[in-house]
Amino acid sequence: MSEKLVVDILTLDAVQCAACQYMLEAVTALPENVRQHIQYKEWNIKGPEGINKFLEYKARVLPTIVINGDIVFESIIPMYEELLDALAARAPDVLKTEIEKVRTTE
Amino acid sequence: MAKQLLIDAYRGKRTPKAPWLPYAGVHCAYLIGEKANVYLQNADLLAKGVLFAAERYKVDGMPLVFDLNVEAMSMGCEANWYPDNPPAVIGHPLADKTLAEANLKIPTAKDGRWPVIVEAGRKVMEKKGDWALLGLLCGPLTLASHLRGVKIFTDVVKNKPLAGEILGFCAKVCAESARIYRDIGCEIIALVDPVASQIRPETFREFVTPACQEAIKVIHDAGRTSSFYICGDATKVLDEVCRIGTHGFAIDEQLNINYVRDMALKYGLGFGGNLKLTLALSLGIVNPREDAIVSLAAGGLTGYTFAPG
Repeated sequence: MSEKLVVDILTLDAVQCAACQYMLEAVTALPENVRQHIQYKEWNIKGPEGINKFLEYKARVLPTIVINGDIVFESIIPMYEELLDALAARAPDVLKTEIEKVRTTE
Repeated sequence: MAKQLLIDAYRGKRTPKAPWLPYAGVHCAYLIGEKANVYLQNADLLAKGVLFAAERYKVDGMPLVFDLNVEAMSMGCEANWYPDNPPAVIGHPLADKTLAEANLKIPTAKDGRWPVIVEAGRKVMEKKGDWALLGLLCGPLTLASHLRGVKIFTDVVKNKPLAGEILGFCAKVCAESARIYRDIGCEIIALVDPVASQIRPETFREFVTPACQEAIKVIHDAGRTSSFYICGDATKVLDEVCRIGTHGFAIDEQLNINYVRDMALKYGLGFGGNLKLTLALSLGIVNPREDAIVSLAAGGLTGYTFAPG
């Protein structure tokens, strides 16, 4: 299995906060062939793990999407194509190929 | 407790002291020893919880319910219930269907979850003291997100006719919710649109602002007080929030209260927040007492409501 792209979604709590819910859904609703090549996780700030992750990234606001350690979307739910672009810019070749497949079939 | 004090602040007026408004929500369930999922589906428990919390916290105002899933669930959206949170919508009927195909109807006071809320509101209005009851309706973009899912954030840029159709429908739903809260007797009615902070100002102006107008008119025509609640880092859209047409607005802990106060004063609006709900009240990272003092000092006595963010 090739190396996966790490996508961290920093939230207040995706159950409790609608903005966080749809920031998380931007990632979880990606096509299956793209999701197979990313490792994503919600870090909610209601627990020590989430707080530490927020501090580790020096994040400023919630919700935030971090891709491979880069803070990419802060309090802005990305359009589908924006998210694909941001992933592709940091993706290993195999994921870039899958993202291109998605783009050509839509 | 002082209903008029809160109404005056919500309308941007100078007040002798800052009114206090806790958004107790499902915390009311905790206070009376009930699970949120049971509490939110029982009119007697809802009324009991709201009245208990109002007395305990010596409020100037209290929401009847703080649950942004009422409208969507009343249209049939699938949702998960939780014992310690409001429910969360998980099914989006417009994800792959048009409005016509999904056959969505604007929920009235007789549909879905509304009868329980209406009955609870009636009970609260009969017994409450000198404090304002707030009706909080799900704002248009949050409702559109529930109905369409995350695709709505692409639609507002790439498929504007579809976004306009969905937001137009949501505007009608918001207006009907405002009528329901008006008929309950809520003195203050707020459109609560947390996801509206997650878009660009031009998108807010194009879709959110127009979708709020019918509900705002319902509130104002009834002589009631209006507000617009927004969550998250709303700095980039705050000017749009100030221009939306409500008497005031409320923000969360991520905004700078000094900036918010200055914007509210500039537009002559009421503003509320932004006690640090997460950092102080939930996690205790910030001292809640110091946070409260800072908020009160920064908020001042013109249009400011002391409230969590």
